Amino acid sequence: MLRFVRSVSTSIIASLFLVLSTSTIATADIIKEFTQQSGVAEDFGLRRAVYLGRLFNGVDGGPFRRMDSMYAIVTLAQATNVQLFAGDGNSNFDSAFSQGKMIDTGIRVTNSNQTDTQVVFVPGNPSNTPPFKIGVPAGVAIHDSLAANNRLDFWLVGITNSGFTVPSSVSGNVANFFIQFDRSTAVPEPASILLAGSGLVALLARRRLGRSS
Amino acid sequence: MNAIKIAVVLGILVASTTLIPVAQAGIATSTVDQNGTKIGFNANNGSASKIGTFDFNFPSGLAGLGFTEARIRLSVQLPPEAFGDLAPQIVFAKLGETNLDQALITGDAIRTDIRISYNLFPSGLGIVEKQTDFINLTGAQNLALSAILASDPSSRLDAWLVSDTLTAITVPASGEFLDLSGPFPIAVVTRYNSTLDLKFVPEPSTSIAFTGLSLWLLRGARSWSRDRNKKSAKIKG
Repeated sequence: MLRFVRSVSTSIIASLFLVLSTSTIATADIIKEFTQQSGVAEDFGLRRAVYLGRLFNGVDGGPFRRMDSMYAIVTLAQATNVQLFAGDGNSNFDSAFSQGKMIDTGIRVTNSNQTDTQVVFVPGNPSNTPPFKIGVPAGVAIHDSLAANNRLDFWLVGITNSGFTVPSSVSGNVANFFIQFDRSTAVPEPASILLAGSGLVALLARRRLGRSS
Repeated sequence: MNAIKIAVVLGILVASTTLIPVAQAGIATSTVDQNGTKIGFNANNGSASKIGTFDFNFPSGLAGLGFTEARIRLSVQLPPEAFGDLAPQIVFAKLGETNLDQALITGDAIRTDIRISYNLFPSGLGIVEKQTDFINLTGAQNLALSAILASDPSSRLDAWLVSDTLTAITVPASGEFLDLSGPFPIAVVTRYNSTLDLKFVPEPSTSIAFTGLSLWLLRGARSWSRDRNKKSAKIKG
């Protein structure tokens, strides 16, 4: 009995060690870019979507699996809880959305002063604010889209006939938007799954061996 | 007797014209900071954006003035479909009106024919400064505008940009753009102001009164001349 308990605990520790060791292998990097806001709006009765623009042209997926967190800086007016989407498609948002090509980042943008056209930092200024944490499914989907297309399109989306405006220029000055992603391999990779699986197999084998003896 | 009568009337007329301050034609101008407030319009199918509260100084008061034309300069963001009949219009309203649908019915606001079109140079998907030409004001618009200005002791009015169907219109109080030249992004702010010009002339009723008096005077002069001719003919006869 004591031998069995010892073998089980050894296997659990070995599995945990394997899982922890694979997670420490996980790497991370930061991708960031800005460009002029497009400002082209669409409203086909379902929602109002304004195309921001395309970023990360030519960036590949690399060894990474998901977007962990992000910063977004956009210029807009009279917005309340406007959603930021990322994905594949620079026109006809409704169609891209229905095909699953557009992913809700989880970021919501609201103007603190509804009388002004403002630069809104979400979740705050990168110099002094921790980034916005992206949900795992959204983070994986955004990274998959980047890996598949080597680019990402960004949209601001509100309810139909909502009156928020997104300028491409502000009195002759270019209105840019800025996106920064922190991406990592922190999603179970095939190698990690294999290692963890082999640990479990070893555990079961030892348990069976213990029973037979 | 007639000569004395005419002399008296002439004297009264001359005295009255010299004593009554005669309104002169001109342009009243007001420049104010843009307000940026947006409210629902046309039962919330459209929107109304408050441009600002303009104040005018009429040294001789509003009496005897008729407003014939108006023009405006403002910074605005319009959607590309805002042209032709969909171009938003300027509405003048009494100070503090927050329900323009109702104010337009009660006469506390008046819709003008001044339209701010997306196509009006410069056009673009951003905040641009637009300046209209002088646009005629109808008689009804003139009367309503006079009443709105007269309702405030400082001759002030609120100007709004309204659209019956479009909501994505912004008349911002200020606009920011992102400066990414430094180590960290920063926002740079621009404040906006707007200018409203009102062209005015002496009121038509004043002109009609003077024309009437002139005609009456001319008639009197003719009558006096006729009487004098008759008298001289009698004397000769």
